[in-house]
Amino acid sequence: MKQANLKKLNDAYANKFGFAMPENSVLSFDFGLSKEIIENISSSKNEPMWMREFRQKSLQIFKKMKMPNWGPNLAEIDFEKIRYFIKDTDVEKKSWQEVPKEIKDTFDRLGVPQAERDFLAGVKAQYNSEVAYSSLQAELDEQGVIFCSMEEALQKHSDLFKEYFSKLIPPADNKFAALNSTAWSGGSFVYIPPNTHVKRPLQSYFRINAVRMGQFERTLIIADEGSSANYVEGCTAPVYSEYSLHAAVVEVFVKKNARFRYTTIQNWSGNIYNLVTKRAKVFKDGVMEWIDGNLGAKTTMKYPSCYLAEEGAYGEMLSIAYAKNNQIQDTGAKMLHLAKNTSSKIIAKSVSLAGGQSNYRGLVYIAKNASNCKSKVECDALILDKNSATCTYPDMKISGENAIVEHEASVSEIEEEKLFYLMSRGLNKTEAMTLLVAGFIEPIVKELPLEYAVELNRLIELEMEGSVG
Amino acid sequence: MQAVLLKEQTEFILEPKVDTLYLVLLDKNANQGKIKIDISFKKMGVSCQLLFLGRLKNNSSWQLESNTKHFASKTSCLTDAYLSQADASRVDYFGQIYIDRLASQTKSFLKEQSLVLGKATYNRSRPILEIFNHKVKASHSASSSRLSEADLFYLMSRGFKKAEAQKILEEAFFNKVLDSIKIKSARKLIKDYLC
Repeated sequence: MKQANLKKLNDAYANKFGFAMPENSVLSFDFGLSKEIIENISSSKNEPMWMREFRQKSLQIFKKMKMPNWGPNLAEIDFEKIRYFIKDTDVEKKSWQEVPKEIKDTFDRLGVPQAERDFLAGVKAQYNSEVAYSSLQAELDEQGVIFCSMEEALQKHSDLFKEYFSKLIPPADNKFAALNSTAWSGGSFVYIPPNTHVKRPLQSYFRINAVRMGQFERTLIIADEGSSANYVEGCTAPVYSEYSLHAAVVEVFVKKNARFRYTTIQNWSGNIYNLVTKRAKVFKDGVMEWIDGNLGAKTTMKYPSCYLAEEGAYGEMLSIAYAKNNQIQDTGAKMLHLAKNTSSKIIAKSVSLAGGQSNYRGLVYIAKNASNCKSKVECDALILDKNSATCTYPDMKISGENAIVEHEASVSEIEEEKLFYLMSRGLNKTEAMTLLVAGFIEPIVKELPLEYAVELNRLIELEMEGSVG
Repeated sequence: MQAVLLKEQTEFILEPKVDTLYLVLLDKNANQGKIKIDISFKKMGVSCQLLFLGRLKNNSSWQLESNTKHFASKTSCLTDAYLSQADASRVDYFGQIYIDRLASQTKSFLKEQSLVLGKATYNRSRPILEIFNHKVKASHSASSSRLSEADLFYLMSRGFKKAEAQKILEEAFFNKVLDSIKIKSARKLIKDYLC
């Protein structure tokens, strides 16, 4: 039954927005993880000794650590059947014309093409494990903003890189962080200088295009004092029958009075395990906003967190989870109030249909010395049929004096009256339900950049087709 | 509806056959305590209410757990926990609502409210929802907050000392519960407890 549903999802995905390109990699290594493979990755990237040692130490940690004993079942993942590094282009392309046609076609279908590029501040598109294409506009250079691949940052901005790399998510944080630390490849490095305001979003696309290939991109962002920026990341993947693994790590440092927004739309195909560790450290009066849309993947485990480390820091999380065809969306957020007068807000919405399950898993922690903190959590879940499920697992630990913490969660189905009203106005059942689902997630969609909001609504529309009745 | 006071045990496994109010009054003089209540709805159409009330002082430490499981359709449950925490008291509350695939048209709600009066209190709250049927209404809420500064200031401006003002506001917090209880015997038990 599960296989049938997966096939159905994949077929639907292929017809609507799926596509698969032939593998044509310049350099790739064998399946499995070993000292030699990790050393080969380091050599191919010409990495300094400290990074080589870091990868090898991380490999030892990864081997020692156990799989999580909570959450969705991950038993199907076989780390020996994953290929840990594929490089599509041997050099990073600097102009769109130089990008191989296959890759260009893929990005065209993803929505990176000409018309959109004109409106973007910079495009970093990751294809398989390496940055395949990047175009940094003069505007960013003039402002002193660094927006490049992690590999380039390691070579060209090594001091800055070393100062922050892995300081927020050490390899021992969890098994998948250890895996990423040993096998990381690609991802974006962003540095916003003090008092610099980047007006247009910094944008990245990530893709997987090889069977049994793991993707372990790593993103490191530093928003220096008084700066502000918006980073947008979107994913989609072609159809293939065997599972694949995406285990990314994202570290964000939001310095004093800085403001940073990290937006993700995740739309992996239905055979991918998406296990991501995202964390931000927010300093005095800084603001960190996570906006997270999880639509695809077989199983997602993602709980972006904010460490509110200094007085006045603020963390926010807005998320949508859409679970269909036996997908498990296990998402949530963590807000750790470590200093006084810090505040946070979590708004999580989920839709479950056609056998999908969406879970909210969250933590609000207020430390003993963190007085006058405030936190608000809202979780709303919609279940559309009898085969679907939804769960919420919040945890609130409050020690700080004068704390105000509120948590609300609700589960409901689509109201018959609303459905009846819309159908009485001439809409069919699918159209009416699609409209009501769109209305349900609208508070979060409106926070997305326009092109993402349009894409998300379109995806929901396509996903709802044939799933009602 | 009948009222049942749950006492002298730490674990209760309940299967309500008729509409029932289960009442748990935490021992004000105990230094620590642990109470676990499992309610399983296996008979269609039954509703019940579970109410925890506690005025915690000094270093008292409580572990509370409620597991409400709906296996039959058209059942409903309202779980409330009203706790005031003074001094360095500690509470760890785990509240689960489980609705089975067969339990359609179920309603289940959980609400935990902690009024923090002390400066060194600790409160942990884990309200869990596990919903496997779409024809249901379920929600939980948890809040932890101090007495309103504005309310305190008003009462003190009318001549009350701070301790008296705090007491009045604490009583008001519990009166919200009392007002919702219609069964006379249960109201009396709660009134006696709060005195």
